[in-house]
Amino acid sequence: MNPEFIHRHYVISPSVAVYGALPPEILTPEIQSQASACNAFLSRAAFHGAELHQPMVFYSEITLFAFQLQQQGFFDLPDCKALAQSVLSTSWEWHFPTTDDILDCLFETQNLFDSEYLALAKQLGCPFICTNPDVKTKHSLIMPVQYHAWSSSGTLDAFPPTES
Amino acid sequence: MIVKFNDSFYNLNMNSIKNQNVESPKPRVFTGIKPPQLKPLKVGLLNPEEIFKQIRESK
Repeated sequence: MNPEFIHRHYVISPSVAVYGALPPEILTPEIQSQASACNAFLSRAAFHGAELHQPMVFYSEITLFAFQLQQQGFFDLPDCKALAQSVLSTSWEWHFPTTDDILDCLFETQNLFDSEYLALAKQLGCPFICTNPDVKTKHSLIMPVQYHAWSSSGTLDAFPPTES
Repeated sequence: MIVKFNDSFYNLNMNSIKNQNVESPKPRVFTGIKPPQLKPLKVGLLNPEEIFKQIRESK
C-alpha cells in the first residue's frame, strides 16, 4: 500500500490513537518515529475526511490507559482525565462487532482485545491500523482483513489481503 | 392469576413506531484528535505499547 493513499475507512488501534494526544517529549526515544508516523497518519485521515472506526472495547482500553498513566506517575489525575476525554470524545464511529466475528477471531488470537479490533475490521472490510507487528501472525489466520503496522522506525509495513 | 395480553394496545403502539420516519444517522467523519494541555511529571520515559501490553495481559 502506498502510505500516501488514504482509504475511506479504517479501524485504529488504541496505541495509534493515543499518539495523537500525547506530547512527543515524554515518549521514549525509540518510539518517537513511530509516534510521529502515527500522528501524520491521523492528520492525513482527518484532512481527507476518512471515517475511523472503533469497537466499544476501545473505550475501556483508553480509560485503563489513562488510569495506568496516573498510577505510574506520568500525569496528575486531571491531566489523565483530560487525555482520556480528548481521545474518546473525538469523531470515531463506534461499533459492537458481531459475536460470531469476535469468536472466530478469538479462537485464532487468544486475546479478546485483538479479536474485537480484527472482528470489526473483518465486519467492515477495512484495514486495521496498529503498531503491533505480532498481529501479522494472528491476522494471517483471519483473512480477508487487511492490516498495516507502523514499524519502530516510522515506516509503514502493509499486509494486504491474500487468497485464503 | 391470568394476565391477558392487550392486542389492540400492542398493535396501536407498534404501528405508531413503524410510522415514525426514522432517519439513519450520518457517519462521523474523523476530524482529528485535539491534544490536551498536559503537564508531564516525567519526561522521556513513556512507552504506550508497554502500558497497553500490561493492560491486555492483566485481563
